[in-house]
Amino acid sequence: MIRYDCFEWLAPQMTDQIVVTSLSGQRVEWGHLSKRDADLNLGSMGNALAVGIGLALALPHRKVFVFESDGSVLLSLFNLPTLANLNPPNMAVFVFDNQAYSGTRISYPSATAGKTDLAAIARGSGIEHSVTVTELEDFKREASGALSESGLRFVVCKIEESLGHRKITRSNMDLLETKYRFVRYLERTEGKPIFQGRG
Amino acid sequence: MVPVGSEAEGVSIAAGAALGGKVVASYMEETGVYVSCYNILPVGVRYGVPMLLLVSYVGSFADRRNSFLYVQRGFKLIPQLEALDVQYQVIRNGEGLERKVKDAVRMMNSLKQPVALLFTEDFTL
Repeated sequence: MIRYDCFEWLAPQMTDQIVVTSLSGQRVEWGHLSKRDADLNLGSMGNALAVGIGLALALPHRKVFVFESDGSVLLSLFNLPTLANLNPPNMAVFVFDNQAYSGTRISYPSATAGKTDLAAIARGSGIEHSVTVTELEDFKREASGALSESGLRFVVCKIEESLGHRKITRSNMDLLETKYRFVRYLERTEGKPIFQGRG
Repeated sequence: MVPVGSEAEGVSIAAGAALGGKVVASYMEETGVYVSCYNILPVGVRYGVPMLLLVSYVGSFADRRNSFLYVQRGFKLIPQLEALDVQYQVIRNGEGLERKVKDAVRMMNSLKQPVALLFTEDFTL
């Protein structure tokens, strides 16, 4: 399974769902395929899942998708027990697990290429709907479920180590622009100010 | 209140909630600043997210129960915050506490950055 194929299928299905992406391929490919104001392309490893939890708690009536990587989840494993116990029904986490230290350019096998099973760790943390998918059709089934059904889900997507994102021209949108685009979108659609303070 | 497994995720969850419209504070001992500096920098400072860091400032000169357990990380706390470019105030007692917290909230909303309140002296008894 190739991550870009997953995103290419999912991007046109999205309407008002919030998306938080971590770094590297998730950010570059999703940012290339989706230009929605509801996308928060965070650009940081080990933070997307927790930021997604905060958004899901603050906006319980909105669906929050988080696109993570195996390395990013491993960097912040303490997120999983917290996520399990909070159990936000409006959150879906997709971990694109390429089983390699891809960002370093060395492509050395990572822990998930060996004995480590992220879905099992999530299940052991208490996340009931925690599965691993290896085929695009299985990804579509899980993503469709996340779009149409309530309930926390944690989906580990075993993907090939595609280097396609390195051929995509990267957006020069600064992180502050990303933040303000996202926050102003929420202010418009939620009908309330997000940032406080006098002008 | 959201109980967390690490101050690091506490800061990132708070950031997400702030971006969703909540006024947020993250409560931690000063060790939490060290643990969460990676999260404070790329999410709090670089992204510019207002949040209050309520920090138990043990190991300070004014810590009434100072000990070899706390002192090393205590006296390095302020240089750590300054390196992160996080504005802070040291709070020694409860006098005018409500106003000081309101001042900090106004500061974090004006800066759109994390702001820290460091509680020591009477708060360490």
